[in-house]
Amino acid sequence: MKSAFVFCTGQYESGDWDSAPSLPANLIDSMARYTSVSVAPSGVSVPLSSETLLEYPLVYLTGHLPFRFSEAERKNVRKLVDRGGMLFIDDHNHDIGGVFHNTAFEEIARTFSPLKDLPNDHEIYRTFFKFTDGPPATSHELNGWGDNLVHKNLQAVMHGDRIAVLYSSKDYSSEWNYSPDAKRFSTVDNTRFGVNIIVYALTR
Amino acid sequence: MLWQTLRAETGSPARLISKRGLDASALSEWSKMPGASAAIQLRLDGAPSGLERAWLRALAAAGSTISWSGDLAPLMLDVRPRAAPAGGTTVLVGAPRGSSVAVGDEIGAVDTLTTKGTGASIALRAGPSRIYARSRGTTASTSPADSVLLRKVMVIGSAGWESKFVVAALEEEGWKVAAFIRVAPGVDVTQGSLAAIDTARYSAVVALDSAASLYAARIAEFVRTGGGLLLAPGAALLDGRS
Amino acid sequence: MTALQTVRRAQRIVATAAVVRALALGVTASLVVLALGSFASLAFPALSRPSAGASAAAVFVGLLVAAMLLWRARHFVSPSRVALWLEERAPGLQYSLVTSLEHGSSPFAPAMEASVARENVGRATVIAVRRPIASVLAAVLAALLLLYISPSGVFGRGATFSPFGLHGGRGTGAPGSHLEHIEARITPPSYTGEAVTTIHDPSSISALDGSAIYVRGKGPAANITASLDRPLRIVEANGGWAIAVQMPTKPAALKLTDGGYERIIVLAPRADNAPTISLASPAHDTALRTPRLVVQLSAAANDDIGLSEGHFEYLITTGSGEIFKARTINTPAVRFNGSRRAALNATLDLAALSLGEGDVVSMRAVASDGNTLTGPGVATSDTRTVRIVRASEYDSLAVEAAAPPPLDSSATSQRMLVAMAEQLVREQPKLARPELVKRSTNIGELEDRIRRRVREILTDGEETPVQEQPDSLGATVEEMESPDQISGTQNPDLKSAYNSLWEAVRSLRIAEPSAALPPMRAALKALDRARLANRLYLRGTPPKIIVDLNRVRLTGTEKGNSSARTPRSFPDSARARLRGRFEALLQAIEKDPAHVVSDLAMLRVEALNTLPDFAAALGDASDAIRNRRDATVPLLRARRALDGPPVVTPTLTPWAGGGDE
Repeated sequence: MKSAFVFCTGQYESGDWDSAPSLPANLIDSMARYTSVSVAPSGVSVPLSSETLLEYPLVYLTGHLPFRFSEAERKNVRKLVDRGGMLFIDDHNHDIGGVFHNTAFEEIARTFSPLKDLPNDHEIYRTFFKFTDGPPATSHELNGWGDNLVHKNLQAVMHGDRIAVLYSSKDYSSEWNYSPDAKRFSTVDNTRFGVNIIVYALTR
Repeated sequence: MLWQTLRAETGSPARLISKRGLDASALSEWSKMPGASAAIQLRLDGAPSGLERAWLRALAAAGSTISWSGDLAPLMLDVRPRAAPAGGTTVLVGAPRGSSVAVGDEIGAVDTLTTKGTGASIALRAGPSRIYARSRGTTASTSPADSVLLRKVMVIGSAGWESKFVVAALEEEGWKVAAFIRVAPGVDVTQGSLAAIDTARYSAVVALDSAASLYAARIAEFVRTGGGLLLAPGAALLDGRS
Repeated sequence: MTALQTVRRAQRIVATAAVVRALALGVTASLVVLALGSFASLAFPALSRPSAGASAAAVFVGLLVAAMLLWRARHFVSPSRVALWLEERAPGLQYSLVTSLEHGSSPFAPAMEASVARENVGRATVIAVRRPIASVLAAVLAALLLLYISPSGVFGRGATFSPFGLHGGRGTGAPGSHLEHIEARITPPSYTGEAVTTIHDPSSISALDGSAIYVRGKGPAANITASLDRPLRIVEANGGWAIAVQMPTKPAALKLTDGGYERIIVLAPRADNAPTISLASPAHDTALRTPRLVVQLSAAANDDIGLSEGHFEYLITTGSGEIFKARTINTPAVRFNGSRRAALNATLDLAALSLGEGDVVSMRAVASDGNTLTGPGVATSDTRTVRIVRASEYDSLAVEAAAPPPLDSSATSQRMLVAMAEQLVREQPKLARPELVKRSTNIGELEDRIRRRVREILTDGEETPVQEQPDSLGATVEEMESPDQISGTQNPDLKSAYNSLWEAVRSLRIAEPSAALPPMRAALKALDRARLANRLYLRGTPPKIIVDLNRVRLTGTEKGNSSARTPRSFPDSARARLRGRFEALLQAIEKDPAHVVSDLAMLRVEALNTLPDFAAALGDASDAIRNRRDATVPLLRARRALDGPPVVTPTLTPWAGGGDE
């Protein structure tokens, strides 16, 4: 394993794994701004079926399309999680019960165990920044498109009292998928919850 | 087959008894003879039992000279409790190279091994009350000492995969861990109390990187008073002078 | 009695003795085989269980020994051989017996007969056969003794030869109670179609979840109590007592008491596992330029009890990015009628799905079992994907595994080039030189196109133009960038493919197709590996943004908060708990075997789900103790299952006082 934290995006075969290409750099920038954690300046993309995956303590997965593991991918992600790694899966669609969501829920249940709602007072909401109301809403949700699509909870598969798989329907992939240089135009940094996720993955 | 020769020398108050092997009846007979025998020479095929050795010592104290010869298999046995939360026992066996040693406990056989050097060791998860070893007719037995007293382990490092997995590995082995993990200046993830680093609270300190510099002097004092220290390369240059 | 009659009588005695000897030694051999197997179980615990194979081997050895001895004794069929045998044992005959037999009509015959009559041949015969009979009988007794003192769980008394083990078993039966000789009838759930089974005197019952269990015993029900987490109702039935329970979903202990006696039966449920299904065809994902393909689907399903039905599911997504639609189509269900194995086949014509560019069809097989009690269990196979590529994504490296690619030079695949080169090599002896050069060069040009495409990917799209002269040798070898000049290393498989392609193009351009074939095949393998790992890379590599960490480090205006971490729970504390209880049981085993049987049963219930081998060994141990046999071997097995084999290091380290080796 490398000594610095390297942000890893998982490549899976069934869909558009690379739909948020700017997100890794954005979160790396946030980690450097707020923490003294040693981070690599750029992220990597690693196939889920590759043994190299086991070198990364946190693996990010996203997409719009149906989400299915091949047998080799399933075996590897199980090994990753059994050995203490963490998966963060975000639905890159702003919807409820869409095809990514349904297929991802099924694959996660088949590979690990069914996802359950994470209580909004879980420690992940205070590992670095404090989010007293649970997962922060995204701009899609705040803009009020009138579609009433607000996801109140994240979901997780727990190993003991540790989050092994964190699942989000809130579309953080859209929220964080911009160049870090654009942060200077925002009054509030909307990537702070990403820092919580990474700090949780590195310290719990 | 055992055979017995008894040669008595007439006219001499001292007798020479030469015997191959040893048994309770012979010991009993020698003990009842009027006057102590001058010398008892034994040719042994196997190590005498504890009772037999004690009896021979008594005969020696009564004035007999005991000597023995024979090809006895040397055998050493030591048992130590493992210094780990899961407990267990380490059995150390000393025997000549190539010896086949059968090790067992009060239930039955544990394993049979062949030594490659001067002995062998066996790690057992259980803590038996008595351990036996047998090799070529020689039997040794011992009981393990009281278990080791274990305290917590303190881990100090920066947030990252190394500190995460060191703590996880220790906890999975059953260690109680206190942790200080630096995330940002003034922002730490802590586990347990870090009030004092002393041997009453901790068995060892694991220092992973420069995050331990805050505690360098206290760690040095801890080691001087008998505590254990594991330094990762990132922490090897810490200056512990107070 | 004539000489002949004397010989016949002796023949009968000797034959009987030979048969007895053969049978006795045959039995001895069988007993020795059983005893040796039992001693071997000290080293190989698997041999401690009585098995039909071991018994058959013992019987075979015994029969073989008996047959050999009988064959050796066949000479006693001949009277003259018997007579000679008698002459040796009764020297006083002085060959009168043999002479009488051979020369019965001679004038000296009466004198010979008289000489024979004077000797007590019968006594000599009996004395001669008595000693061998006695020795074989002694051998039989010795073999029986050997078997008795062996650790055999069936025949042996146990641990006499074990240097450390328990001596003898102490049974714990409950003589006089109504808990002896009980019978359990197990009725599996109706959907399984399995037969009802009956077990006599069970210490444990293993059956499917939901099976109906009917336990009955002799005697009045008045003093009998039963409980399984809660008290159970006892009824009078057929002159005895009976209880009915359903197999629980978790291991449990059925406790029966009769006054001061207690008996525990461990209930070990077996779950009806969900089926498994695997998709055999199509074997790989596929990318197509046009949606014209007939896909043959086949899948194989298995279940431990019986399959109910299966079908294929197609998930079609249309669109891209945030704007796409998805629809699901299921094939009609195929009924499997309870078979444990089944095959599922279907044909999918992509043309019928009205697919367009960018559309994706995901295919998988689904099977369910017949579990009507807690299920049905449902299984899904791996997914195979067929993607219709967009025009902007046309990729000459695509290897279409589902069907041969169209012969379009712009999409000629490496696999096709290998086939073309192989054909050229076959035809080479018959071709004129100019024709060979022309064909080899054409293949070389196509190969070079692939080489340039791989180069683009390796160097992130920086192209170095190469002069193309399709009618001549084209770019010279020196003008091709050598592998050493390629610095892109993100994909070792693509780099390896580039190296091989470079070699292949060189050889093809100098009309040496046979020398080009090995690197062409190597390139194909490397491209296949790269395709599977990086197929989606080829659609477009994500931009690599490098963050200037020094510039942004700790410039954030907001500060984080310290937090507390909680210790993790130990994953294997269950094993530690079981170990503690097991060691306490071992201490108690010598003192109070009666209670140990109950405690062993409870420990077994607790261990059934987590450590089944340990639980099985505990079951054998409690059976042995109940039946007054030695339990050393199953207890050793239990300990090994709990702790694992001891870790032996055959040397002493310097830290342990071993010194230098």
